[in-house]
Amino acid sequence: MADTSSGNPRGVYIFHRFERFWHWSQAALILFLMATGAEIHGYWHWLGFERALELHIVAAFTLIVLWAFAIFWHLVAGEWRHYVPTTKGLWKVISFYATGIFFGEPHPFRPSTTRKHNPLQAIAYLSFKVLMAPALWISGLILWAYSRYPAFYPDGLPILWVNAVHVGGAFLIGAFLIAHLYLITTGETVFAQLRAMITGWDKHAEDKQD
Amino acid sequence: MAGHVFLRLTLAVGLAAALAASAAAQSDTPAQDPGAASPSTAATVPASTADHSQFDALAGPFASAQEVNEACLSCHNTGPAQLHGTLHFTWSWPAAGSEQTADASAVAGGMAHVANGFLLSTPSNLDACSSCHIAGTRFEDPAMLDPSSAPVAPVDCLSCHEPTGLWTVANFHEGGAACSMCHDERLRGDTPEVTDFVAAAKSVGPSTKASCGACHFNADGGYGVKHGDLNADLLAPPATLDVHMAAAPDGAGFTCSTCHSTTDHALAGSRYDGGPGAGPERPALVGAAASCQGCHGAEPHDAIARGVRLDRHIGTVACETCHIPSIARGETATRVLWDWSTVGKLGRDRKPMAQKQKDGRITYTTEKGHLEVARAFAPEYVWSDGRLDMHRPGDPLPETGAEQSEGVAPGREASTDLALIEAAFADTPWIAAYSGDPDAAEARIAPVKVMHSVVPIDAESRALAAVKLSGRSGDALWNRFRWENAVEAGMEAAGQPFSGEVAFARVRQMIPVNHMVAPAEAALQCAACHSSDGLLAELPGGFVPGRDRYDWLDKAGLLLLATTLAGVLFHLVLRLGFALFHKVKRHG
Repeated sequence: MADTSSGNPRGVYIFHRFERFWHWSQAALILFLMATGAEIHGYWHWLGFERALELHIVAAFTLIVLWAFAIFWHLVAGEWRHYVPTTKGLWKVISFYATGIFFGEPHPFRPSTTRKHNPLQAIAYLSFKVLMAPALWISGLILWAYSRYPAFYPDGLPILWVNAVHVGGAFLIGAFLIAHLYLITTGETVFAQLRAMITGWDKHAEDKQD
Repeated sequence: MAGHVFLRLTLAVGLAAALAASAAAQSDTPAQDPGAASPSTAATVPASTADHSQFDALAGPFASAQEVNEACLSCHNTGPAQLHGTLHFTWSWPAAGSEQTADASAVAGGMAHVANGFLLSTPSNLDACSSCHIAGTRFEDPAMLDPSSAPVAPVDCLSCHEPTGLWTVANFHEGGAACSMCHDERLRGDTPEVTDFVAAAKSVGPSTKASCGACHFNADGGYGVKHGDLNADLLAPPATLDVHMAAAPDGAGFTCSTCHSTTDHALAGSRYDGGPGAGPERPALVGAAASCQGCHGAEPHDAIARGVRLDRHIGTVACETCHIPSIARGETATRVLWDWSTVGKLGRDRKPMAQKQKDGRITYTTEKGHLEVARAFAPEYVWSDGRLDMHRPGDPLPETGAEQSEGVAPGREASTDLALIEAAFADTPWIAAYSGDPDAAEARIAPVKVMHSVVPIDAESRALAAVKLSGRSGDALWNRFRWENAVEAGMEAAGQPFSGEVAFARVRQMIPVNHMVAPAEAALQCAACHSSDGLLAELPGGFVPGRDRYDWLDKAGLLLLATTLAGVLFHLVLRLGFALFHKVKRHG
């Protein structure tokens, strides 16, 4: 099997310009939100509580706007298809990470323009998009509104619970981030997937015509 | 020996300071300051349309203070009628005929009724306590505080309108009032008195810091004893102590009455009314309760970029909480412990004595027992709706078991650490506490000074005891130090039953903190409360990011992060290890 079916030395253009912009700005915002959020929660001191809170809110609204564009892009460009969960090939991927990877076996999945993510990735990213991220931004918006418009806050909703959802979601995303940062080093080479996300071109992808 | 040593602040020094500072206070008042007008007219235009020094009626001669007052009333003939209904006169709250009294269940407040942890209560002590009444003369009959019955206490104009406060200080000492009421230590020298009635009469004007302070700076037993935020340091304070009362240009040059304005001589703004959330936007300058927002508005932080967020704290945090970060910040300390149970230990000469520490603090007196003061300390924070749950003599203390005094030995070692005192009084009952449900719209987090006292109670009924402290009769505590006799006389005056047995109980009392507002840059910063070990760590309620968390969630979250990290590191180690043996390029 050749590295790429097309023979193009740059590989296959997997990640579009917007997709990469979305990914990297989202990454930066999430890292910043983690740092400021941890400070607001009292885990460390960096910017000072007040500045951390202000910038946390600014970054959060920026991220929500970014997500609005991203959701629009997913729908219009049909990109949502990449995240439809499937069990087909899932077990192969799991067993690859559990054993095959140690023995230099080839990865059972090869990305293509029709399916960018392996089944495990698709499930992880989908749960990020439809569970973790919404838990964060919905609870975050409620927290913001609680402070900004206290008169409209419903009495029946304990704000400590809302805060717990926000904090709990942040921990989940933190764990996601750790796993994500590690797993992107498990590509064809250590930096292959990182390069693909920067340039858009995946040298090892499969050139399927859709 | 101790009894012959002057107090740190001798009366003489106090008087000199009062004189100098009241002169300053007068000229600091914007409304009175001719300098506020254009410079060319400053020298010629008087501040008031009435120059009392020119009035024939005040030319004298006067043989007595009473004659001076009669001269005042020859023009100000409705003065007594106006004053009769005020808290300054009746020492009762709510005022007779007010809306609050229509509620029969309303507990009577005011000095005439309540018990506290300092000089305890006025029944049987009115003769000494009325030194501070605006009657300007002492009287024994509490009925004289009720203007609807005869005889009624007189009204002494100069108590408030003699600008140096010396008139009132002289009134304290008139006719041999009980020295121990205000002095922890016997002083030598003559008691102050006013000899030149004409000069005093001609000096009258608006109230000054010195005239108000003559009583209020010395409340409940001398210099700064009761209030950590009200003492003689306010006569000429630096702006760091009080931005409002410091002289211009550093401060605003306020007097007390700049905020505590009057309508027909009635002052609003008392701890009995006007909580932090009560009518916060009532303007201060038209006679309603003095409030910060009366001048500063509901959005006082708009001058700074982060103001919007700070402004949103107004619904839950009283201004004082952040802007009075510590109390008794000046020279004068305030009393934080008063242990009446240790009263009565005499000196070697079998006479009352005082024990003094090297720094001048008096930590024990025969008449008052064990005493402690504190300076420059952070107040405690409570949810307050401004309603004070008070106790009166005869009100029973709850049986909590925690408050029973454990037979404290007289003259025991002084514990100077406020934290130790607080620990010793943890969970003891409050004899005066603000109510406030964190969820209530009118409740705010507010600072209070907590007073710790060991007070006499009826051993059987656990009722707070009224105690006859002073007087000529043998049953007064300070004459023979017999608690049973003193409580018997006190309870009789208070109209309360007494079993004949005295016990002692530890109690606490909240005292509001509203003065000594610090400059903005000295206000509490966010992290003072928004942190897990901040000032509000012990105060439940509200939602304080940085403080409020579910510990189990934090632990679970951190465990998740640690497990994930350990998992990937384990995987990485395996990968690197196996890679040594399988140098095969994948996908090919």
